[in-house]
Amino acid sequence: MSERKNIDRLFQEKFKDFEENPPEFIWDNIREELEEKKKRRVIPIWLRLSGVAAILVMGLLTGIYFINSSTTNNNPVVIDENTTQTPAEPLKILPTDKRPKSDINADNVYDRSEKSDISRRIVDADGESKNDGPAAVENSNPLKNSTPDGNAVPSRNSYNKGTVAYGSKKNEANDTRLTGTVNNAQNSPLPNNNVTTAGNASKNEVSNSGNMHNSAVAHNPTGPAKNNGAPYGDKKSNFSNRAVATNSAPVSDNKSAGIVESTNVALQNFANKNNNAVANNKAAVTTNGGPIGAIKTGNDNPSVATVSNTKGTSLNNSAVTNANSNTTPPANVDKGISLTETAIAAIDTVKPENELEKLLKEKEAGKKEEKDKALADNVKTNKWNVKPQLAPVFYNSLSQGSPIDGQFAGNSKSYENDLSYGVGVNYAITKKITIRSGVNTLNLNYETQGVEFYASLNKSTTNVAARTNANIVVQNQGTGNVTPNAFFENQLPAGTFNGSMMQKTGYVEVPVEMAYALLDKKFGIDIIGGVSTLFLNGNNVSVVSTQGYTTNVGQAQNLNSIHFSTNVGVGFKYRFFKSFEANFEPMFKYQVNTFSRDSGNFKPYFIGLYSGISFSF
Amino acid sequence: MGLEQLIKDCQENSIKAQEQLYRLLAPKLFAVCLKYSRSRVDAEDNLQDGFLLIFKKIGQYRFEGSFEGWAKRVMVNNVLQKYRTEGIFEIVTENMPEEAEVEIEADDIPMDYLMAIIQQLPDRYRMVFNLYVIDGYSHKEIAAMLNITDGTSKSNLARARMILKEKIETRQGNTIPTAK
Repeated sequence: MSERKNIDRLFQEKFKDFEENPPEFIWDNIREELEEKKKRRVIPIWLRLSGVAAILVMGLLTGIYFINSSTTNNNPVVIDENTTQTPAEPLKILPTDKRPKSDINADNVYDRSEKSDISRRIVDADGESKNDGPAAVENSNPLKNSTPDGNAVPSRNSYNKGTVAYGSKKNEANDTRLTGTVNNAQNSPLPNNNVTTAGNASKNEVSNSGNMHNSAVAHNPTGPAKNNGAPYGDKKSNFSNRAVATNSAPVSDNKSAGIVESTNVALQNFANKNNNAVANNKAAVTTNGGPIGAIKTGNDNPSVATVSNTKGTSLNNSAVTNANSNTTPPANVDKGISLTETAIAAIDTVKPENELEKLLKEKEAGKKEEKDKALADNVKTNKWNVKPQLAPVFYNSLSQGSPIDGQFAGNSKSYENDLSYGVGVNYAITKKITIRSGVNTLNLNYETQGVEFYASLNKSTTNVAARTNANIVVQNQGTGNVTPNAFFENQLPAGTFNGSMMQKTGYVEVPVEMAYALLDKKFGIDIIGGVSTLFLNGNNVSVVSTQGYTTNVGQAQNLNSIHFSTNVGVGFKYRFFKSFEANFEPMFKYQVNTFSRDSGNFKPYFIGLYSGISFSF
Repeated sequence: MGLEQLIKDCQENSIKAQEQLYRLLAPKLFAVCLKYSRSRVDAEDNLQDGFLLIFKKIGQYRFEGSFEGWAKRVMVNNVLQKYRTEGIFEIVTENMPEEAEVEIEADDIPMDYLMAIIQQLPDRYRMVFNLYVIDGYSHKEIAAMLNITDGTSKSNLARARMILKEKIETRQGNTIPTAK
């Protein structure tokens, strides 16, 4: 068992902190693709805008219909509202306007990262040429930095304020060397900065006196305190540490800009991280090959070489390189907490991100692992979504009226609730916008109360097709003028019968809708708007007498074979399993153009509570 | 503040932020790709695709857990997905003692060589070995990710160990690196 671990551990140790810089062209490729995608995205943005606008317009339309039930006078108002409403909308949504603010940051940082690129190359060159050299080689970086930074002036050295953080035994030798070259920091205008923490080991003091370089730590106004409080794992303190530490580099910057500047610098560190990585890498691979755990235990001896322009132009030429050159065994840590703490501070300042991330990750590994993985698994989001659905449908009319005959307008009507069922298909255009369609069956029935009917050979009910034999005439109770004929086909005795009239219509509904996701997590909320096309496939009018007699009257003649509805609704969904979602969508559907003529001021609508379980793929 | 802001900028498709994020994570993720890919060229492809995927899906990152962890998982999943869709998880002999003893003399073996022998492993061995040994997934998780059984995962791992061991021993015997 323990032997088996050997090979595992070998790989674990070797690969743990392994990093490698990919070739530059990869980023170029990625950028190309990203930029191309950006251009292509222009359309969806408009689509999104128009989608939202469309939903709003429809909402308004239906809302106004709802409120002002009968008169058509209101239509102009509707249009007015639309025109005022729609242009206001884009202002709210235009996503690209948000940028400039952050761009300021980004610009700065971008520039700097260019510079750090240069310095990275320097480090690279170093690493390669001095491949197998001892750790000391790396520490000579400050020297090198001063020369190739694009500045050919030899006196450049005199502006060099090199910063080397703490030594272990190895570094001491280098320190002295550095002193020779770096000592010229006579300009270093950081008088108040030499506050060394009590925890600083004597080694630090030594190097301190040699040159001003410890300012990286000492200058940090919050660093020591914070580090004591939360040495590891606290992202925020880490950031501020780094920020302040690098602030000490651009001397003039520091004085004028203060904390505000530090955020920029913090970002700059991201760019610089690459350098660190390179330097680290080289150290780990070529000189050392040794304890990889070193970084964690604080045994690193990162050194910060800072080249700053003292002319007061506040140019940030700082290049942070991290030379990992320790050969001392991990046992070092145990020597004292204070030493470790300062070392941590140093690591924090020099190596941004890496350790912290790793530690965080390790800490949270147990808990977050699952969650993250679920996220990552879902990375391939499914565009298509099929959903069998079922909906109780509540039918109603916005106004009193009757499509059969105006005389029934005042009669009380009872609307039947029915069940609509079908299949929905959704296609996600973007993360937020989904196009929906499908097929549903739909039955819309209502009953007109208080009517009387009789059989007649020469009369017929308005808007209902005449039958081959005697017609059933339906009229309001007490209308009189009745000449009933008796006929036996339906076992109806001659006479008038009080009762009710039932109009049944059946449709196949094909919606085309757009949904916009307001909330898109495990639980999601959509706004849905669109139209449905309704194909008539059932049409029947019948009567039932109070005695229980029932008979067909015929088919209504004024129903369009195709009509439409405008749909607005809200969708709630809950993802309970990877690709499965439970949906609940109350939809309001207002029917348009249902009747070809004589609609009798009947303004039908229905509310469907669509629910189903969708499967995405 | 810093990283979070950077991610937010990336979510708004700022190309500058994306570049920064790339610069920040590329070395680490390239290392991941190198481990999981068949060759350096493959790794470069995978890195590129993986980053595009990260930028595409970065909106789904909810600032829960470390971003680097998330990015890494996206990257690994991307590679797994790719090899899965290419259908090139070769059929490998499944029955293998699960607890094979693999001992090696862990003297100084260069990174390049280790990388090379990992890349030379059959695809599934490589995936299982990486997932289990280096990235610390359990056999159960691996089985789910690769659509295999626990037992297959275990035996694949054992096979992978054996192959790696043999290669390392050959090298130690000859001291002739056959890498790359």
